[in-house]
This record gives sequence, structure tokens and C-alpha cells, in this order.
Amino acid sequence: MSWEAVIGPAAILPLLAAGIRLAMPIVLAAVGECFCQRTGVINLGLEGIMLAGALSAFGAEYSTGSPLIGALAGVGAGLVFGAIVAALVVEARIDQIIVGISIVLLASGITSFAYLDVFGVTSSPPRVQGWPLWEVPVLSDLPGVGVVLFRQPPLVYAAVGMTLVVWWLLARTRLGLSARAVGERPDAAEAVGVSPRRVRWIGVLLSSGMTGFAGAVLISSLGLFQDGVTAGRGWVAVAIVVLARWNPLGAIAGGFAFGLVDAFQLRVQATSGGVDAAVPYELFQALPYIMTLAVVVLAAMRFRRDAQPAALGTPYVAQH
Amino acid sequence: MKQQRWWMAVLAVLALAGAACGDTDDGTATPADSGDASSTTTAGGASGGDDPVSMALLLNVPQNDLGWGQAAYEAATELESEGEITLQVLSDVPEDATSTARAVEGLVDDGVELVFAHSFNYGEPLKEVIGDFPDTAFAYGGGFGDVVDNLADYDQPFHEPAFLAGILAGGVTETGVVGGTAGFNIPVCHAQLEAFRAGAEIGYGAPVRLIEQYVGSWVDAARTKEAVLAGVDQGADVWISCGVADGTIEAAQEADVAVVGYVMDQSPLAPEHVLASVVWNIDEVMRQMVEDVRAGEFPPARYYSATYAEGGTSVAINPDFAGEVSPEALELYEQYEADIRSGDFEVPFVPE
Amino acid sequence: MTSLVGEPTQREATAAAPAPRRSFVGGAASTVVAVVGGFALGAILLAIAGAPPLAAYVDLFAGAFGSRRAVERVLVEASPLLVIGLGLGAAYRAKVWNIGAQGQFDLGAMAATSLIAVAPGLGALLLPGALVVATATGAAVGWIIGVLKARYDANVVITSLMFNYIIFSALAWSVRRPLKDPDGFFPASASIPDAARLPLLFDTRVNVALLVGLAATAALVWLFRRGILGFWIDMVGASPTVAEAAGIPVRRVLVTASVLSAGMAGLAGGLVLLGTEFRLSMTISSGVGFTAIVVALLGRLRPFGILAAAIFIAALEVGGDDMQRTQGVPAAAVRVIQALLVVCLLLANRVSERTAT
Repeated sequence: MSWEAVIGPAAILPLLAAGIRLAMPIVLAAVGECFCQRTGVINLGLEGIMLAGALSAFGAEYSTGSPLIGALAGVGAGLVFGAIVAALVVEARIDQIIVGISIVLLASGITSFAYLDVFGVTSSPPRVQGWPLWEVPVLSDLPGVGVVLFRQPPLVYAAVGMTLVVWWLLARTRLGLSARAVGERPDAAEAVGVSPRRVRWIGVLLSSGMTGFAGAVLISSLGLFQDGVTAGRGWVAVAIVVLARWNPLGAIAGGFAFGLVDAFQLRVQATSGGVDAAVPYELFQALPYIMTLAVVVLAAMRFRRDAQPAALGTPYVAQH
Repeated sequence: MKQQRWWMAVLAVLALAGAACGDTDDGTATPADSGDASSTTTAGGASGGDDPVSMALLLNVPQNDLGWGQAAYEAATELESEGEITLQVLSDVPEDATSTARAVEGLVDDGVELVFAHSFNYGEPLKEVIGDFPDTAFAYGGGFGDVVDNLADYDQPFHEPAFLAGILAGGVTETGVVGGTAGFNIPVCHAQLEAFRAGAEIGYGAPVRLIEQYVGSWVDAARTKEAVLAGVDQGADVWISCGVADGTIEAAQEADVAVVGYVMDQSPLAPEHVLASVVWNIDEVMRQMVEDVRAGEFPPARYYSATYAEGGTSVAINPDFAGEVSPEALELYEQYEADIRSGDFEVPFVPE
Repeated sequence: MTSLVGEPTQREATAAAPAPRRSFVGGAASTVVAVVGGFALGAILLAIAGAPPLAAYVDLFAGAFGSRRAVERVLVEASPLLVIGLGLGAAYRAKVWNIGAQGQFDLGAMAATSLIAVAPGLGALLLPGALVVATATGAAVGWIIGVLKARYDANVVITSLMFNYIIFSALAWSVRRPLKDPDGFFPASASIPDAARLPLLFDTRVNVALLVGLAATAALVWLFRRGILGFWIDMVGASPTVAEAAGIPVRRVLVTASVLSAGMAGLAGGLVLLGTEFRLSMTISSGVGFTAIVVALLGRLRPFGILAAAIFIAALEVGGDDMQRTQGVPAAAVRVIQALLVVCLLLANRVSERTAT
């Protein structure tokens, strides 16, 4: 067991880079979900929406060769599922948790079915190339951080930009103010002329679109699709929202923390001697989830529900 | 065009889910509660003759998983196209006793003569039901001679080709560190990785460190990829995989290190990085079983083994990569290959 | 209102009393409509897969109910779904969204295996002891989740889900190390002794897990018709603030609902271990903890509904194999049809509620 190999001077930058790669889909989905939940809607189906985005992006990139079209297709699939979610929770006012669980079931079945039906069983399995790394001029030459932060595929820059835009939207714009108002007191918001219905549609579509994009980012860096490829990242994103206290900047930080712990445990496992190690490798695998649980619990104990939007999870009936 | 069909399908389903769902929609198809027990319309049951054996393949994964399941699926369809068998495939069958039993019972009712259950996890569940079907031949992928009545076991001697691939890896590695990935630490995987290390030491001519990465899932390709990249950062420059090859190969390609393909020749996936592939010619054991069933000799069951020497496995060296292997290692490879073939050398099997 | 649908905030104050129970006929009718709608949508999928939908559905139902053995299979399959689904249904009525039944099930099976490994000499007490331990460990997780929810309002979806991952890692470790059969080749426990196996009912292959499920159904029916706890659960689910004002011990109800659901999931883990699996492995559950969520939802969180849904979903799984075999439909199609049924049911529920009020 060599800590040098995990967090030594030569290892720390690759560790950070791996953390970013593992975190990116989670961060994207979590930031969108922050916005959505601030409007009072829990979009719990992220895991399914991300899967749909992943397959859609994969299919589009595979057939066109363009990662850009792939990314757009990922967003598109997210929006389609988002529209279903919004119709069910905003219009039909069905319980949001139940809708979320159903969406995950639906999407995991549909993606598995569609992948087999479209691509079949081939001996040269389908792959996509993804986007080559794009080096930011000047910045990428910075020693250390330059390599980590400024040599990434374009989708990652887009993702970072998107998360910052959402933070700005929520914190600094009229739409964001409306969203926050609707999440706290939809009746009061409506009284001053904000349409809770419209704002919640925006919230659901925004988070679903971003989650679909997250699926595209995952696929683009991975190069392949397989059943259940998101492997719980959508669920983790929902957890990150809670521990981030519904703050997009917190979600960015929380998502990266999760990715970092995951990257860390993979590196510790690599150096710890495998199955003969004193500490079982299963513990490392559980580490990101243990940390998430711990932080969610601590945050809940420390802050109670003061940050949670008051109307979260509650359907709203227009007053007039 | 397949793609278009897919889009139309998904969109149609989604649109309908949104629009038509809550309303009555019963004109198109009614759930057939009038379904009569005797009205099964199977193709397999029709084989009253004696030639093709009616075989069923039970998979714990989808048949397009690019690895474990697909290798068996392709072998079975090959036998089917040769007219050796009629084939039924059940994919994604959970490996608990209840799911296994219900799948098997349906198959036997359909007149299936040979059930090829392609996972070690099917072993114990099958032992609970085979007694009810003494005339049916069952086989599962245990790999350690676990034969009970009419339940056969067949081996997965990946350690042999993995050892040979390891020799090549030893001739490629510059760091003396190699890596191996698996979903979980199961005996066949452990043996494969250990044999790879043993081979690498021979090819490298010095002790070699093995970085084992157990990902905790057979389907999380993204995490597998990161697990490999983590090991690459710690010096491993040739990789092998047990069950999670796709993420491993993607990572090797990205990190520009060498990798050994799993179960089928995977060099098309990364022509510049796949050094060789551990190939499982699983049709070999299937053929043996089919012949035994046809000859009325199975059941009773026996242990089906197709070792490297018998052609059960092989190594597919990527011709584009062969030039990168040191000549000494290539020579050792040839030598050990011949010795394994002739039985003069036995690759150590280290399941745990 | 004990339906799936949360009431709007504005109405909470006036919705102090649970809304009148919807007539059984209305509920059943909308369920039928939803099932038909779900199957109709599923038919599109089957057509895409190249299977004639009607014939596929015939095969599906023939496979599930066409023979005595098939019916027995359905009942065996339904038993754990019923036990878990009942607990989840009760928790969901209190709006305690435990989606961690999968982990609680695994933990129950692990605990039962541990007891059998540690104290094989318990004799006749081994079987009940294993079930008690399974229930208790599941319930312990439920207690943690429930307390975190009741005292700190920690999101149950998240906490229960994280426990799923953590418990699965523990399961993988336990069958590789402490609970592994020393004579075995694979990561799995030793086979449990015959004394600890659940008896079969008459001369069928259905084991007493079914009776446990039916007894639990009866108990929950009583609980929600006559029991004070059932009333409390529904009140808390309808509106915690109103329930609080009415003097209901809201926190205790939340914890109890969580413990109940997790304990029953743990019990199901024990029942499956002792009734059908007979050994612990990573694949002991086949995702039954997630399928049970569908069962609870399809059953509209009512005990009898959950009983019907458990049998229905079990029939889909059993008959789905036949459909897959005879029509070449991929396994995923059955999962999509299940999900479509749930979504259609939610919508049909909603429509029938609106027309009722």
C-alpha cells in the first residue's frame, strides 16, 4: 500500500483529472435538478432520463459521426422524457416520487429494448469516437492545473458553462426569482403574476435536458453504450442536490467531491494489493456511497429543512 | 434503415405514452385472458425428428453484451445455422432459484432436450429442479467438475490463454507492472488474472506486479475505464479483463497502453492497442454436448472440458501489434504454446 | 385521501379528514382501463420486436396460468413481492419513500445466513430464529432511515438508496469472506440445513412464504380499516401539519412506517433464503426489492390491491419467459410493459379521481 501512488506529487493531478471525469455527468444532472427542485418539483427520474440521453446520443453520434449531433440528441431525449414528467406531475399532478420511479423503470426497459433492436448482436460492436481533447490556448500550458482543467473534450467545457449559467439563472435573473418563489409559495407567486405551471415546466425541462446531456457526456467519453451504463449516476445526482442544500454551486462542489472520492477509492484499490489486501476491496467500492450518506445525514442534522423549498413535492392547483 | 426505425419506434411509444395512455385504448389488442393452455405455438416443439437437438441457451445478461453472453450466443447460433440444433434463447434471466426454475420448466415443457445455462450462478438453482426432469440434459458453467446426475459442468479455462497472453504482455511491458479488471472477485477471474501475471513474469524475465481492479459491477463501463486509468497512473501498461473488457479496452486506447481482449477477438475495437485476445471457442463444449445428447449418452452428465490443447480456447494475436512484442517473448510464447498443447506444461490454476 | 396523489397545499387545511373512500367499483374500473391501455402500448413494442402482439399475449398468459405448475410458480414468485410490497405500500401511504427494499432484503438474507452459520444447533428454533433475525436487521435499517427522516427530515429516497449500495458491497464481501462455504468454489454460503427450510404447502411447490404474505395482507387490511396506526399513517400521509395539530405523534408514525416496510423487506429476504434459495449469494434477490415498488404502486398502496398486483406481476414475469421463448421477444420488453402499466394506472387513477370529485 503506497499513499505516494494515490496522493503523491505525481499522482495528485491525475487523481483530480479522474475526479472531474467521473463527476461531470453527475454535476450536470445535479445542477439541473437544483433548479427543478427550487421550483418545487422533485424530478426523481434522472437515472432513467440519463440512460435515455445516453442511448439517444450514442445512436445519433454513431449514425452521423458527429459528437455535436450526439449531444443534441441526448438533450432531445432528455426533453422528451422531461415533457412526460412535466405532463404527469405538473398537469396531472401525480405524485412526483411515484412518477420518478416509474420513469426510471420505463427508460431502463426502453433503452435496453431499443439498443438490442437497433444494433442487434454484432461481432464488431458499435463504438463512437467522442470528441478529441480541446486545449485552451495559453491556459492549458499552465503547469499542473493546465493539464487537469484545460485539456478536456469540448463537451466538458460546455457542461461547466451550462452549470454556471444555471446558477446565474437561478440566483440573478427574474426567472430564477420566479422559480424560487414558486418553490416556496406558489400561491403568492401566482398572486404577483408568475405562472407556477409555466415555471415548473421550465424547471422539469431544464433538469431533464441537462440530464440527457449528462448521458451524452458519459457516452462521448466512454465510446460505447451498454444496458444500465449510467450505473446509478442519476440517483447520486439527486442525492447531491440534497447535500448541496439546493444550491447549484454546492451541487457543483458536491458532485466533484463524489467524483473525487470515487477516483480516490479506485486508486487506493489499485495500490492496496487486490483480494489479499487487509481492507476488503468492497469497502472501497462502497466508499462514495458511505460518504454521500454521511454528508446527507450531517447536512440534515445541521441545517434541518431550512434550505429545502417549502413547496417541494407538492402539486399546485391554479387559483383562477 | 435500422436507425430510422428506432427513432420512429421510440417517438411513437413516447407520444402514445403521453397522449393515449389514460384513455381507453382497447381496440388494438386485448390482453388475452382467454389464453388457452394448449395454444402454444412453438417452433421448437415441432422437432419430432431425430436430427437437430433442441437446445436452449440461458443467459444472465443480454445477448449483445460484447463479452460473456455474446460469445455463447454466437456459438449457439453457429450451431443452429449448421443445422445441429434448434435454438431458443432466454436472456437476462435472473440467477436466483425461482427465476431459474421457472425458465427451465417452460423450456422442458416445450420439449427442449439440452439446457445450456451460461453462468456459474445457475448451478445451485438447477440442482433444485433437475430431479424433476431426469430425461433432460442440463449444463452450467461451473468450471470445476461439479457434475450431479443429469447436470453437467463445463469449464472456462481462461487461465491457459491468459497465461500465454501474459507472456506476450511481458514482452511489451516497460514498467514490469500489468493490470487486470473484473466485475467481482470470482474464482475463474482470479485464476485468469493470476495466470496472466505468471505469464508476464516469464515474458518479462523478472517479477511482475499485478494491479487487480474489481469494479463492483459487471456493467459499469465508465467506472471500469477509470479503474484502468487509475492503474495506468500507477504504472500498469498492459491490461487484461475478466468480464468487463469494453471499459478496459476503451481506457487502454485512451491511455495508450496495451490490452488483451476477452472471450472473442476484440482487436477490431482498438486495432492499435489490443495486443491479443483470449478467445473462448465455446462451441467446442456445446458440440460435445449436442453429440452426446443425440447419441443418447447425456444424461447422465459428465464434465465437459475443452482445454487449450483441445481447442476450447485460443489466443488471437493482433497482427498489427505482433511487431511490438520483443522477439525473446515471442519465442517463449511459441515454446510454451507448444508445451501446453502437448501437455508438457500445465498452467497453474489459482482460483483464490 | 389514501390515494397515490398528494393533495395541494392550499387544500391541506380543509382536507383534515381523509376523503371518502372511493367506491371499489370505480377503482377497479380505472385499473382495468389502465391495464388495457398498458397492454395496448406494449403491443406496439411487441410489433416493433417483430412479434404478433395478440399471440405474444396469449403465450404470456398461457405461460403464467396454463398449468398447475405454472400457477405454483406464480405463487412462489408472488410471495416475496407480496411481503415487500405490503410494507412499502404502508410506508408510501405515510409518504415515507423507502426505495431501499432491495438492500433491506439482502441484509435480511445475510443476517439469517449468519445466524445459521453461527448457531446451527438451534434445532427447531433455527427456522423461526432466522426469520426473526432477518426481520430485525431489515427493521434496524428502517429505524435509522425513519429516525433520520422524522427528526432531521433527511430525504428517505436518498438515505434508503445509499443503503442499497452499501449493503450490496457488504453482501459481496460476506459471501467472499466470512459467510463463504469453506468447501465451495464460488462466492456463496453453504447450503442451509434441511431443518431450517420452509415447509411446502400440501403437495405443491409453494412454500409457507405465501401464507406469511396472506397473513400480512389480512393484518394490514385490519390495520388500515380498524387499527389506529393505519389511520395515523393515512393522516400523516395526507398532511403532517394537520396530523400534528390533531395530536397524532407524527414522528413516531414516520419511524414506524419506515421500520415496518424495511422489516418486511428483511423478512422477505429470510423467506427467500429459507424457502427457495437455500444459500446466500450475490444474486439471491433478482431485483425483487425494486419489482416490489411496482407492485406497491400498481396495488395503489392498498393491501388487497397489492395482493392482486403481486400475483399479476409474478404472472408477467413467469409468462414473460414463455413469451420471450416462443415469440423471440427480448426480456426488456416485459420490463417496458410493466412500466407502461404503472404509468397508465397513475393516469387512470387521476382521471377517475377528477371525475369522482
